[in-house]
Parts: sequence; structure tokens; C-alpha cells
Amino acid sequence: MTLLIEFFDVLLHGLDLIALGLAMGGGVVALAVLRPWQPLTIMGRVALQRSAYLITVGGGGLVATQLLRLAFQFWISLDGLRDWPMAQFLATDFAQAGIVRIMAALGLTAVSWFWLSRRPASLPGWVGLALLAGGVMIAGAWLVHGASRIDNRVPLMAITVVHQWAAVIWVGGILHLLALWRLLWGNLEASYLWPRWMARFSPVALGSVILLIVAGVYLALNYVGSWQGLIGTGYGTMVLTKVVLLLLALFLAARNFSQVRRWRKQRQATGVLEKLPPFLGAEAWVLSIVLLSAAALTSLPPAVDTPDQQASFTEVADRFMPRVPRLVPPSREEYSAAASSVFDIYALPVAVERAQSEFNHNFSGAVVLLMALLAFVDRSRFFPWARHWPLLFLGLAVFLFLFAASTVWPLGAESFWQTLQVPVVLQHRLLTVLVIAVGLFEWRVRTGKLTHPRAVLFFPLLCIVGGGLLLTHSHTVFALKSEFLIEVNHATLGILAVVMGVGRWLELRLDSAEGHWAGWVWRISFILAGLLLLFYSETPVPDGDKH
Amino acid sequence: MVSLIGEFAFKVWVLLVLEAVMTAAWGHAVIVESSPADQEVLAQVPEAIVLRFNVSIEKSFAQASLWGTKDRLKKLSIPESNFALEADPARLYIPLPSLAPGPYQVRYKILATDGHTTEGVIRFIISVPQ
Repeated sequence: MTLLIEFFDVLLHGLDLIALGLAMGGGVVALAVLRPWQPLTIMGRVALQRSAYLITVGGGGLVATQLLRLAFQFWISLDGLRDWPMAQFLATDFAQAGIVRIMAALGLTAVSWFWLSRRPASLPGWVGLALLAGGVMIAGAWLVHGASRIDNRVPLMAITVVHQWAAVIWVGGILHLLALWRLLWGNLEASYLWPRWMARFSPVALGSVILLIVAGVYLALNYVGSWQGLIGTGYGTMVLTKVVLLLLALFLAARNFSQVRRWRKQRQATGVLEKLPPFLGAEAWVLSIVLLSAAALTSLPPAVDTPDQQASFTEVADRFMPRVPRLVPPSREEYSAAASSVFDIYALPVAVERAQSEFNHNFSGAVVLLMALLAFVDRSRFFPWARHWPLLFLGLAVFLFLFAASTVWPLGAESFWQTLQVPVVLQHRLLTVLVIAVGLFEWRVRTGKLTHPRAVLFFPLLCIVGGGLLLTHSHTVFALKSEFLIEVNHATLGILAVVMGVGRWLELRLDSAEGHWAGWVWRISFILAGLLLLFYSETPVPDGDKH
Repeated sequence: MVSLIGEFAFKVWVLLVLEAVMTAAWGHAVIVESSPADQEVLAQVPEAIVLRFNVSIEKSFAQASLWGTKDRLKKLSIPESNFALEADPARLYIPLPSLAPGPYQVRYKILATDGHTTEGVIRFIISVPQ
């Protein structure tokens, strides 16, 4: 039960960061972009009201996630204890900080709902909201990893809050701007207001990025500590993954920045109106994945704390070397006799389980590579039959359903329903559903059966979702080094999946030559993902780790 | 407005699915030092197991139990000495009962002061006297 509760705690932490983004980003957009103290147009007033609504949603979300996190933490601490340790629980720093955070978030929600949504031009209201948001952020310092460190505790708590603050302002600001773009779409004032709003947001975003990076470097120095820690641990890999995704977001942001600069110099709003919103949407998705990865990162032990579990550069490089794929599974009898129950979280995989895992990955890689090549051929338009490539996703889903947890029904003896409480099994079941959804949606899009502008975005969105899944994928609860050597492949696959999603998103949203190159980007990422899976191999468990 | 809410709901759904399929390594806290060490073969029965973590912990919520190869043998108590003011906030001292030769596990669950729970295990073998 602990695993499942911790699993939901990570889930709630991710939601908490997004809700924080909506609440904080809204305040910043209101004060720095919409400027309630200046004479407002009708649309400016409506935009402030929209921001207030979104802040209410974010504030409400914060209250709910924080309450649930506290409840889960209390529940998990009950397990095995005879009494209800309520007094001890309330005496802990994190419980007190959580309660303060709930109070501040409640205040923030009340101010935005009862005050600002009715009087959106009230400057005292916005200042009050900013103060309450500051309270939420400061109380959060006792909930971050730095709060439990033995050394350097206070600086780590403070810098983590600054890092979070910069991130949520950037992400939340973009979410609000996208909502405001919806408001302006088709409106005559769009060409007047939108470039101005974007020009006002640019320095805020730039400042947030600088703060985010400076604070991030400080945290990396303290928690990662060395190059080997960065390259050779799960924590380091997640930090690197965040850096790569951040670079992708910055690339998208730079495109937006250049459009705004062009508008400033030439007062030509075309680029800001036509190109900027699709890039902004892609940036929002990438940054949301970064936030979710950050939530998962907090559950990994820092690299500096696992100096004897770090892989060398050669070991990591070996994970990406081509090798003969395993396309035949081990015998079922041998597997059934040796495989551990999915409930046994402390079991290390034996040889036949590793062989099964290699077969699962390599066979999936062959299917993915075939789909990717067909997607390439499909682009030539000389082979119309190639457009049916998404149907192969359905075959992949059947394969996943059967083999992803082969000790479970229908191939194994363990119950389908009972094993859903094991996070890794639940994860694979949901992945199977996602794969079916991706296949069906994209096939209908390719064959012209689905033309709704939002429905066609399902494939890129689910690529991003799948990428997020892989970025936070983990196999065992200990044997950190061997766990990491598996994770490093999944992290790379996750990044490729996010790049695929962004590429396809932009291909669909941009009609110009930029959409054309985005089409190549996602197809190349698709092929690389197939190759990575095809050459995937399990790491042998070191002698010291064998039971 | 309705379409905006619909789109927002869709995005929230996508994010929820994304999060629902997330998992993490449940090892926020790790042991930086233990006696006996994990996988250690001991000639003598240790009087206690000492665990030192990389983070400070809420000791009132620490739990530990002794396991044989498959079954739980005993729930281990956390003595008062752990709560002394001068005690290391990251260290747990857990007395062990007398043990026959064989393989054992001490499974623990701790709550870090930032609210994260971690479960883990230390495995050791008491060897048969020559």
C-alpha cells in the first residue's frame, strides 16, 4: 500500500506544481502584462477577469492537492502503528507548512473568486493576491528535499523555492497567455493587444529563465556534485533530461522572442499573430513535462548520496551501442518457474526475466521502427497504403497487454485486477490504453476520417504523454546502479517522444516551411526511438546485488 | 466559453493520464551507512542494526521488522535512545533479538522531515559456526 500511496503523492506533487503555476502565473500576467492600474480597454478588463478565474482554479487545485498530500502522508504513517499519531503528525514541520500553505491558498482562491473576478481592475486586490501567493511559496520551503538535508539546509530550502518560483511564473504565465489568446482569437483588438501583451511578457519570461538556471546550477552543484554523478546516476540523468527539455523550451521561446522583436522594430504583427501561438502551445506542453519530471525527481536520492552506485561513462555509452536484437522470447515454462511476483518489490530480476524484458523491448522496437519507416514513406505520397501505419499501434498494444507483465493474466497466474495496485503494472496497463488511443486516432486522421482541428492533435499530445511516462519510469526500488542503467535508455526514449510530439504538433499547427521541417523532426525522432528499443538490453545484475 | 472549458478539461485529462502513469524510484532517502551492511555475512549475531540515512527523519514514525526468507518474524521496536536531544537526526539504532544461523532481512519504513516516506531493506546472513 505504501508504494501506491507514494505513487499518488508524486502524482499530487506534479498537479500541485501546475496549480501553483496557474495561481502564480496569473498574478504575474495580471501585474506585468495586463496592468490593472492603467486605463483599461474592455478587452483588457475581460482579460483580467479571465486571469482571475484561472487563478481561482489554480488556488482551488492547490488547496485540494495539499489537503490530499497531507491526508496521504498521515495515512502512510498509520500503516503498522497501533495508535493514531495525530499529535506527533501535527508537530512535524511538513504538516505545519502544509497547513499554512492550505490557508494561504484558500485566501488566494477567495480573493480571486470573490474580489478580483468582480473588480478585476482593483490594484489592492492584485497586490493582496501576490502577497498570499508569496505565502504559499514560502511555506513550500519546508516541503522540498532541502528541508530534510543535514548540511546546508536553509540555503537549499531557499534556493529551491526560488527555482520553483521562477519555473511556475514562466509556465503559469504561458498558460495564462494561451487562455488570453483564446479570448482574443477572431477579435478585432487581437492585432493591437496581443503583440503588446507578448512584448510585456518577454522580459518577465527572460528574467524567470535566468533565475531558474542560476538557482538550478546551485542545486545541481549541491545534489549532483560531480560529472560522474550527472552522467552515471538516475538523479543526474533526470537533471540532464530537465536540461535537454529546458533547451527545447528555450528554442521554442527564442522563436517567440524573435517574433516579438520583429514586431517591436517593424510593427508587423503577422508573425506574432500567426506563428507565436502554436510555438507558445508547444512550449507550454514541454514545460509542463519539465514540471512533472521535477515532481518525480524529488523522489530520487541525490547523486551525492550514492557515490558507490554511480555508473562510469563507458557503462552509460555501452547502453546505446547497437547489438543483435532478441526477437524470440524465452520458454514460457522456464519463465513461469523463475519469475518473481509483481508484488515482490524487492526481487531482483533473474536471467530469464531479463531475457523476457529484452525480448519485450526489442520486439516493440522492431514494430516502432517499421511504423517510423512507413511514416517516412508515407511522406513521399507515392505509396498511399503506407498511411495505414498507425494500425501497427494496435498490434503493439496487444503485445504490451500480453507481455508487459507476463506473470499476470492472461499469460500468468496472477490476478489482473489485484495486480493493478502495483504501480509498474498499472503504468503498463494505462500505457496499453494510450497506445490503442494513439493508433486509432492517428489512423483516422491519416485516412481522412477525422478532420476536427483538435482531434488531430491527439497523436502529438499522447506522444508527449508517453514521453513523460518514460521520463519517470523506474524498474526496481533498489540496486540503484543497475536501475539507472535501465533508466538511461528510457529517459532518452522519453526525450525523443516529447520531441516527436512537439514536431508533429508544430507540423499540424504551422502551414509554412517551418511546419515542413517540423515534420522531418518528428519522423527522425520516431526512427531513433525504434532503434533505441531494438538495441535495448538489460544490464546484468552485479554479483554484490544478487540475492 | 463552453468550448474553452471543454478544451481545458481535455488538457487536464491528458495531464492526469500522464501523471497517473508516472512512477518514481521510491528511494528519496537512502542509507549512507549501515551496520551490518547490506548483504553482509556475519559470524556473530549483532546486538542491533544501525541505519544512517542521507536525510534527517521523523523518528516517531520509523518502523522496522525482522524477516526470514519469506515471513515476518518480529516487529522491531525503536528505543527511546533514538529520541535523545543529542542523537543524530539521520541515525536509527534498532536492537535485534537473538537469531539462529540463516538469512535475514530488516525491512524499514521511514518518514523524512520533508514528508517523504521511504521503504527499504537490509539483508544479512548469520553463518553457521565452524
